[in-house]
Amino acid sequence: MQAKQKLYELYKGTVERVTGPRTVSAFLEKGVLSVPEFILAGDNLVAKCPTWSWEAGDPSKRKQYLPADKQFLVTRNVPCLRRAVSVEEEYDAAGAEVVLDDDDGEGWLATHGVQASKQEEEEDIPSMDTLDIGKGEGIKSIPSYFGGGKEQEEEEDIPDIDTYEDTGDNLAVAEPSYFVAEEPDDDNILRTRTYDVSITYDKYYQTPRVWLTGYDESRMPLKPELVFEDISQDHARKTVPFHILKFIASVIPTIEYDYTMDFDLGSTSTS
Amino acid sequence: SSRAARFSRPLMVLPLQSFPEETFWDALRRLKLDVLGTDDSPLPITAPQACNLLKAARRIIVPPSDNSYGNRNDCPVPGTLINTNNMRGFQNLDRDLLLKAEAKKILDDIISGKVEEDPSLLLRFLVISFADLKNWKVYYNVAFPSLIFNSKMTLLSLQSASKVLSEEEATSLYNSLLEWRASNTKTTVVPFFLISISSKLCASVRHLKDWNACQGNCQKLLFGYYDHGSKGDKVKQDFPGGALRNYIAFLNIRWKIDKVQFFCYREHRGMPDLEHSLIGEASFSQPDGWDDPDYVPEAIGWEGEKPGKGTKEIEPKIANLESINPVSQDNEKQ
Repeated sequence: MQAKQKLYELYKGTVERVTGPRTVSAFLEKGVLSVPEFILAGDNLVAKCPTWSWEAGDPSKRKQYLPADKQFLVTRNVPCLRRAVSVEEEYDAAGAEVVLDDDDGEGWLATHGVQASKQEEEEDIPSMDTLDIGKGEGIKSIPSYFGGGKEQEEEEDIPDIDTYEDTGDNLAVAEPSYFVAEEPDDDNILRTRTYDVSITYDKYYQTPRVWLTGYDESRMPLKPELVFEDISQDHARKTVPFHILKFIASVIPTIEYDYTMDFDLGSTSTS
Repeated sequence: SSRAARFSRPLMVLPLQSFPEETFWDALRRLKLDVLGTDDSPLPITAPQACNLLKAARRIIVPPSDNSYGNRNDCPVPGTLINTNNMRGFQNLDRDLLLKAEAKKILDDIISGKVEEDPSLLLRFLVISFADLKNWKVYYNVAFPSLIFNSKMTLLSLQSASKVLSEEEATSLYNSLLEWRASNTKTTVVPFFLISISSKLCASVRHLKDWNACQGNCQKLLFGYYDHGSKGDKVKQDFPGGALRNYIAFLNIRWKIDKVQFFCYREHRGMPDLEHSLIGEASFSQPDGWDDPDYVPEAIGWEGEKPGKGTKEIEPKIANLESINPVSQDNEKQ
């Protein structure tokens, strides 16, 4: 399995080296993207959706056919509030796929349309690490309710109001603090997973490729098998192999995708 | 303007937080294996300081050349990495001393005027680590040095920018912020900047070094910075981000301003958000002793420092690198 994979990578690499990058558009006939089209699409994405940006990346991995400062596109710390399975259950209950209308009137299919439109309407996007679960005097989370000990210990990591003292001249007097305690125990805060989403150009397939890097609630990298909890089960373990986490936008149903939800990646069915 | 709520209380800020990316750990792992060996001398590294609200935290990337460009969402900020060879070396590092050394660099850059050329020097950070490569784990701690002097910073007023500014001012400011953020100029990737509002209520965003040119011909001058804020919690929204403290120290020591009008710039979905951006006023009287070349300021800023305990007792954070371990990925596949 692994040897086959390595052989394939080697073959692909060789083909990429000997063939020039596509410069002529064949988007309509073949559904592939030329390099200038990729850059243009990226420029548009960055202009229209400011949470995305171009990045230069590691100079040793630079692709010569792309500008040095436009090697790939990235948006970071996108909150992912729920696991995909729960969304799919809801979707099954809702019964149907939903056709969304874009500006040109060309409807396109949203495999999780119900959920998507709901999220779009929500004004308050939760920040990367916090989610207001009880607006105003809503639910108060009791730390022990969430499993007690361990989580509480983590919370205590945050500098407390009365911790810091000045130069030590008057230790007897309680000094005013400099920092606000970030997350007191009784706060209405729920941590969430986050993802970095990046898009590279695949010279071999002449398509964009979407990559995901997941982080858990305490901002540690997610193990691959945990990432699969956020992937639509139709795609997990099929078009999404372990060695490379390659996705198309529709396989990530639970990601709080900002307003880039509407971004049509064109043909990315490379698997 | 006079509509701002006035009060006087000690300035409290939200601490900066680190958010090391997976690529950072991978780069550190390869650096240790291929380049460093047992060399544990301090290394310069760069971290992008996130500019918008959704990305509340700072991330860290090595090597320094990686992300030297910066873009509208990330300002490169200089830092120091000290990677020790074993757990004991890591535990024995004198965290207080290391923090003070970084704080001293910040003060020196303020005094020498380097900060005017490169304002990101105010956000200098420190990472100490021990990379346990056999077990695919990294133990680490991060500090964002914040200068402390014998004189206190006082907050005089603080309100949503949309409440402080007149409608015309707000519209003009919104448009110039929008234009400036989209312009991709050098100022866009600098975490501290100036906002001038002319007597004709026309707002513009400018580099800190234009301060002298700005004076006189403008009605309002605000010292702006990218503020990480905290969106999920209504209470926390009302506090400025931690970057403000060193900013005020700079404005006071270098430019002798003891009443600072500041602007905490915040975004919503990548667009300027004047509702959540804050305008406030803080006062700070010139501290003693800082101009002595040997003066080393006190500093705080270690993440995870616990109440009543010394910096020695800070628990290390642990990054689990299993997700980038090819062996574990192969095992999963079978």
